[in-house]
Amino acid sequence: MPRIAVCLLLLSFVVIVAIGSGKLGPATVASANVAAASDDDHDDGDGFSPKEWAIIRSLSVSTAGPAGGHDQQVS
Amino acid sequence: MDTTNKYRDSDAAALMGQKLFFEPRLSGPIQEGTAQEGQLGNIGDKYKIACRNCHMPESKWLYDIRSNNGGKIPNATALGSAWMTRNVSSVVNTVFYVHAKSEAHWRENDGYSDSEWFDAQSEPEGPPVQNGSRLQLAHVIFEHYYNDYNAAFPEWPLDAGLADYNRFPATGSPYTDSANWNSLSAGDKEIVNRVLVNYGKAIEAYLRKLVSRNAPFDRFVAGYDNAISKDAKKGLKLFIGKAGCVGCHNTPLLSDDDFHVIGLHIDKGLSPHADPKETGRQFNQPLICDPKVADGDFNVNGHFSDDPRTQRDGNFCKQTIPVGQWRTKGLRQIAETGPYFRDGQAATLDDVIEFYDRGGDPQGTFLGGPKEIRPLHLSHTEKDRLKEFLKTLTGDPIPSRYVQDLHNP
Repeated sequence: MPRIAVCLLLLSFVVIVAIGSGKLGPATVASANVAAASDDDHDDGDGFSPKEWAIIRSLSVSTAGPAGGHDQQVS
Repeated sequence: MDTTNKYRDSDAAALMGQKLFFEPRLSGPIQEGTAQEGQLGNIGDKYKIACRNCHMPESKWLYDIRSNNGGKIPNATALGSAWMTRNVSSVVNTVFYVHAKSEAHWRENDGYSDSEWFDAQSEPEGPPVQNGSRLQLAHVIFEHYYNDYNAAFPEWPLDAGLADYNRFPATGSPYTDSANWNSLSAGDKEIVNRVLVNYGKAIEAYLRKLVSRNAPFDRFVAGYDNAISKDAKKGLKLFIGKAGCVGCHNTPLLSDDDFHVIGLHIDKGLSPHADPKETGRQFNQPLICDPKVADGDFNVNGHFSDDPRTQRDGNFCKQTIPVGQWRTKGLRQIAETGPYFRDGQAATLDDVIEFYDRGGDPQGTFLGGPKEIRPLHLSHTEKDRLKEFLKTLTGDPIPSRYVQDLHNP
């Protein structure tokens, strides 16, 4: 029993450190940013939801835009 | 892909287009304007105005930094052969104007034409633009660009008859010196119209070289998180969210290439040569749909098109177009190409954002409606952030080889 208790204690410690360093829970952090950033003048968050990213990508030539370069095909 | 111009990616056509973009001999007599206003010669002078004089390489983005109408806002509207009612747009990236759903290629603020080549061919003989004529253009090409033309359009070699000024008068079009134009036989009109169309197709091939990429916004989307500032990201969030800009300013050009009523009052105090009575898209339907107006079936389903079966215009010619509809402007390099709106009445991006924030001008002060926008109630900080985002849409300059004056002697 004492060994199990020590293991649980160590595991808890590792999880706390991991969360604190950002190695776990990115989805939670990201969605918190999106929720806080929307329409809030004083918020510092600048994350985007998956739905927002889909819109953003549709506006960019780097992903969904006209293909090719100066001398290549354009739509 | 503009299937209606099979020469769109021809290097020979693009080179000819570049030469003719800088060619002033396509222009007719100057009608208005003084040197102080930016006019390039005296009233009556010919051969002074090329495309490059309004779409100026000196401006970096090929828009107008020359004409000054004496009003509060320099370069509000263009000075061609005469004062025009519209602001000069940058031609950089304009080949990307494609309707998001139908894939139509509407051009100009009012949808003047349904292809880049049809739009381009209209400029030399537009009375307030270059005030030349299609007969003049055919002679200039025959005499100065014979080899360029035949290399670019081998299926349509220039007719030797163009050397005969009795058969083909020096000037004439359906709009200027129309008696000369109307004296031609149907076959000779076809010869001249073919040269005019191929001029437009060469200009389109050239414009397809005028592409700017690698804007900070694109680098951000590609994964470079620090390519744009934190404020710009918040502005982007507003752009696609609360401010609702993305409803019309979408696609990679940030234009749906569609037509809307935003409720813009044309204030001649701000833009003296603007015309509050212009009806927008409606005005151009006969030009595009009725071959008699331009004396040629120049639309994408006409016989000059390289893809006459295209369905991209939909049933445009059968529609009843309401007044007051204007095309959505693309936003690439927008921060560096003011003034803004079709009449150049907004000197800064701040002015533009204020217009949208108040939901446009009051109903009854503009043609058409109802308005498609509503007040946004943005805070001062939000407006600044929106502007910061718009600044991230400026990409790399056009390679210098594409803005060199190569016109033939």
